[in-house]
Amino acid sequence: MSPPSRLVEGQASELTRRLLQAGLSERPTAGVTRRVLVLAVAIPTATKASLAAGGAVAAVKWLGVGFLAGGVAIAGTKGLSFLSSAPAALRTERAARASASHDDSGGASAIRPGLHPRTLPERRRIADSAPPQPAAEARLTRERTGGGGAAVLTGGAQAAASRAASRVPAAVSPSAAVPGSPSEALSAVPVQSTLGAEIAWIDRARLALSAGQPATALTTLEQYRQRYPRGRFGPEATALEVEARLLGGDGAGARALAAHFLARHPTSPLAERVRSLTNP
Amino acid sequence: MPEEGHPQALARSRVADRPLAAEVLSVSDRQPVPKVAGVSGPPAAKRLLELVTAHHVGVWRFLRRLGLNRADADDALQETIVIVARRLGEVALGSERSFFYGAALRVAHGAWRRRARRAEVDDDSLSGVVGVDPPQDALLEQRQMRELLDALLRRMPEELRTVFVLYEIEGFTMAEIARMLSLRPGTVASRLRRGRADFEQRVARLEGSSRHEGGQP
Repeated sequence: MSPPSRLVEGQASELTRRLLQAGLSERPTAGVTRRVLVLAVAIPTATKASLAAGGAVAAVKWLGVGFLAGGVAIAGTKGLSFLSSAPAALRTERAARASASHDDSGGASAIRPGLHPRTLPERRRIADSAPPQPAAEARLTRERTGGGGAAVLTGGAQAAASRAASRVPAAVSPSAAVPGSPSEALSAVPVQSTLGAEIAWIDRARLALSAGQPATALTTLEQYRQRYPRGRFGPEATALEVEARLLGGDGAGARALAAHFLARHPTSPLAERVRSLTNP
Repeated sequence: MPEEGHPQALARSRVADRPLAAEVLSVSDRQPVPKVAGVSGPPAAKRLLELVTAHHVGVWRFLRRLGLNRADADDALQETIVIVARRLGEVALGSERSFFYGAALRVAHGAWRRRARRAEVDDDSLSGVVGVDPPQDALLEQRQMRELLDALLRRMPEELRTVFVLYEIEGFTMAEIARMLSLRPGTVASRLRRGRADFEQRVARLEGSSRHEGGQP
């Protein structure tokens, strides 16, 4: 006996077909798609690598720093500011989903098309790195039309890293737990959890910067360094500190720190960003 | 991974994800993937990425039709991917899609247990959920139709709903559903038959009440 044809294909009432077609037409937001695709890239190595400590460190380093570094490389070619507001996007994501079920700023807010650090005065340039939320939709539209293809990955990668960070226990995470986020599966990835805590500190500092709060960012970075004196994101922390000092008005301190950073990490993917901040 | 009888809409949605997937693949190829003894590297990653690229929309939609709200479906999808990633090595070639959906079903069960159901369905009335007359705005109509669809599905016994959604919306064959749910083919056929009857009866009742409210005989 042949299987019955599907209702949506025509043998049902008009309303039944409309209902099923409506169900078929629903899609996750673009931000969710980005996150899961990046997750799919990261998970096999990160998860399995957690079985072997050495490899695990490398794996998550690849997940975290690699994405950040990749973000710089990509953003550098596209004139984008990567050190912006992925965490802000994460925090506002659920609210955005509530108000716009077909849109998502999850990865989009990490993108600043058309904004090049060299084109703006120093302080304004940094303050502007926190994009106002209403602009998220416009940015997302540009992404969807292909304007920010590579940067989409950057935003999604940062979001994925941040999302992993959101799953670390509150005791070690500086971020508030994301309400309702499942923890069981990812908490079984011990290395990701450990690294996630570090990522969360970095993200928190970046969030503070995005919110125009350099003092909070500096305090967060100091706390990060105290907690993780051998932290895996030292270069990222330093780059953020340069930005925070500039935003806070400490131009001399920022330039000195930048010089120190560039001397130690002349080939770092972050170097270009640091140079552009201190030598507009 | 053939998609027998699968609606064209889903195929279109997959095409839309390809550029991004290619981009992710491209970048992942450029990034140094760490080598760990005894751990498969890029091939496993690409297998997972291909699976997720092709089916994450469907799995997410499946989670939604199982009653999860959008935020919970987002989380459940990520949780599912982590589970699939862990066990992908055990999954036979060609069975990845079924495994993905099966894992999602188990995650949804967990979500149900963790969270009380949003609204207990204590009556059979669908009045007030949404009207059946199409509004002028197409997007609004889609949203309202989905709300109505979910309201109807919530009223369906879970074992019927799962089979109904997998067959009618996600395009699985009955044989695939039987393997996925570890059921006998006859059981799947029975559940599908009962699920369809349940759904169509409720739709007919809804249409009847709409006609009545509209003054039609």
